[in-house]
Amino acid sequence: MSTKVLVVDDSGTMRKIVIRALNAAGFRDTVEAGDGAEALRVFQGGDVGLILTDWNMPNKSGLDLTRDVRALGSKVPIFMITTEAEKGRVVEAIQAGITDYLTKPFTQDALQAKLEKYAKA
Amino acid sequence: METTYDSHIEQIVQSIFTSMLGMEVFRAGDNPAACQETVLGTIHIGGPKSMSVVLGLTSEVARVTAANMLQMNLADVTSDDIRDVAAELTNMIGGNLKSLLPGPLFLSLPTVVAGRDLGLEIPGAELVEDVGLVCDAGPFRVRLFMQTTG
Repeated sequence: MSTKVLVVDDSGTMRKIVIRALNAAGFRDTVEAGDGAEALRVFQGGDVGLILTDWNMPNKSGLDLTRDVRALGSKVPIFMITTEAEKGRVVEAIQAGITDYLTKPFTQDALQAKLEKYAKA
Repeated sequence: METTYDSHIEQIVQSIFTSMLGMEVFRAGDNPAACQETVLGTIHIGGPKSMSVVLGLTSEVARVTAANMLQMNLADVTSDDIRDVAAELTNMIGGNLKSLLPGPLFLSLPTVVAGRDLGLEIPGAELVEDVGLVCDAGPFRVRLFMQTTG
């Protein structure tokens, strides 16, 4: 897959887990950011075809990153991976413009199955 | 009737360890204080009922959980890996516990300290749950503190 995927999480552990699943799903081109502010800079650098982001991060949350990306007019798929599982929070994320949502903890298979949807798209 | 959280904590930890680490977790016996913690992860849940979740790991449990989560050899695990994995485990325990509580509630970012003979005090909060657990690598604990003063 030639799609460049931006992986955003303040946890290096989670970035490693997500990138491992991305590689298994066929995505080879990944870039990382440790918070939403850094992610927005990377995104504005161009060429990102999919964003996978955590919600709770320092500097700028995944929710604010989503709002900022949508405010730029981008329709890039944004996939949120978070512990925020309450219905109200999920609705908030959808209203902000996320495309997909996965709550932690998850199995590697569950994450990979979600990612394969984007690999086929 | 007073709310208890111990079975929720147990189920949450079991779910995390099974799905993310491929490890089974069981409730320990009656002596969680016997666990010699060298890594403490803390996260705060803010709202009408403010609480703090503390994950206490022995050095062995911390190393094995890091190795399993990152799919690394035990010998290659660094102290940074241990801190980062402990932070993420704490984050998942706190986040999943928050989702079971009436809101609105907010989750802090996790913090981790590592060392020997770690003391733990959360000012203005009392210990309401001390859940002793055990996995293949040994015992560990999850404590829940409830804020009693503003």
